[in-house]
Amino acid sequence: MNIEIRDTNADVALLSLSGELDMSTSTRVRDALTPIYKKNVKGIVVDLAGVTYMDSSGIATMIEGLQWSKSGSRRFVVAGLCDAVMDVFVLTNLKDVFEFATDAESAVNDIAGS
Amino acid sequence: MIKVENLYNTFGHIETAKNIYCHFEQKKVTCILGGSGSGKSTLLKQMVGLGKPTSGKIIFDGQDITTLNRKDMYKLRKKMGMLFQGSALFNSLNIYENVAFPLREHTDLSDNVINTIIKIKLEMVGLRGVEHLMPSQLSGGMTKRVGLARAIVMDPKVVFYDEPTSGLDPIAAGVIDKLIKDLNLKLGVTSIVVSHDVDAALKIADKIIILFYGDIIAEGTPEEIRNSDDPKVIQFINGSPDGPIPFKMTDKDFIEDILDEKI
Repeated sequence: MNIEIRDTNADVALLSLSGELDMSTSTRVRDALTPIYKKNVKGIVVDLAGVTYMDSSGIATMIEGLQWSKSGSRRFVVAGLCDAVMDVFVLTNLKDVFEFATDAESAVNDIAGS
Repeated sequence: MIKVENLYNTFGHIETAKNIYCHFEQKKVTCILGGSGSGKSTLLKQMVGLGKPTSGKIIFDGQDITTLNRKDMYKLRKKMGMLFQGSALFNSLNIYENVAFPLREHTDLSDNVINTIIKIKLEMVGLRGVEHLMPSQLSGGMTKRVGLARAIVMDPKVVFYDEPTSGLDPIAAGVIDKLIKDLNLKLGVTSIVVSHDVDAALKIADKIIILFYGDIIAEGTPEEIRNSDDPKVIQFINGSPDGPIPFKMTDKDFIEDILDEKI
C-alpha cells in the first residue's frame, strides 16, 4: 500500500492510494487521514484509482471520512474506483451514502470552486 | 486452492474418510453433501486444521496443513473463516464481542473502524441491533447468523460453512444462501459448504461432492448430479427412505445386537 498526500490548495486535501487496502494496511491510511480531519479544509478527496483490492476495513476507514464530513458541512469524495472495489461498496449496501467521482482532479476542483 | 490427497480417517471402527481425493477450486462454491455421519464435518474440520486425519495430505495454497505447526497454522487461519455447525460462540461474550473477536485477535484496527465493520457484517446477516445481547438470549437461527458474521468478519479468502442453513426459517435460509453466493461472485470468496440441503446445494454450488460413509460416491456440477443415474445419488437427491443407502451406522444385525446380552 502506497499513500501519497497532496494539499492541492488550502481548502482541499487529496489522498492518493495504491495497492491493496486491507486489514493490514488500512490502519496506515487512517493514520494519514486523521491529521487532515483536524485541519480546517472544505473537503477531502481519496483517489482509489490505484487500489486493486479493498476489504471491510478499507470501507470502514472510508466511513470514518464520511462521519467527519457529516459532522460539519464538509465533503468527502471517493474517486477513481475500479469495478472490483465498487463491488465492495455495493455488497455492503453503502454505495448510496458515498459521493463518488470518476477522477480525483475534477473532484478537487469541484470542491475548491464551491 | 485446496487439495485433499489420499485422506484416510477413522474413529475406532468407524471410517469417515477412506483414502479420498478431492479438489476445491479457487473462487468456486463447492458443496459437500451426505447423510449424517458420512464424514462431511470431519473432513471440513480437518481442512481448517482442527484435528489431524489418520493419514493423507491436505494441501492449502501449496502447504500440507496436516504437518504445520501451531504458529504457521495460526497465520494461515487469518485467510480462513469458519462457520461451525453449532456456531461455537463464546457464551461469556456478548454478540458484539463475539463478532469482534477475530479482529481484536489478528489486527490493530481502531475501535471506531472495528465498530463499523461489525455493523456491516451484522447488517449482512440481518442482525444489526442485537449487539448487546448474550448468545443464550438468541434463538438457534440467530446464533447461526452471528456465527456467520464472525466467520466473514476478517474478509477471508476461503470460508468453510458447516450446515449454514440447518435450523433456519426458509427466509433466513434463503438470505444466507444468497449471501454465500454473493460473497463468492462479488468478492471471489472460495466457499466450501457442508450441507444436507440438496435444493440449496444444487442452486448455489459450482461443484457438488457426495460423501457416503467415507467414500466419494459422486462429484460434478449440479447439472451432472441432477442427471446422475447412480442409484445412491438418486436416492440421496430425492430423499427416498428405500434404496442402496442404509439408514444405520453398523452392519451388525439388529435382532442379534439386541439379544447379545447373556443372562
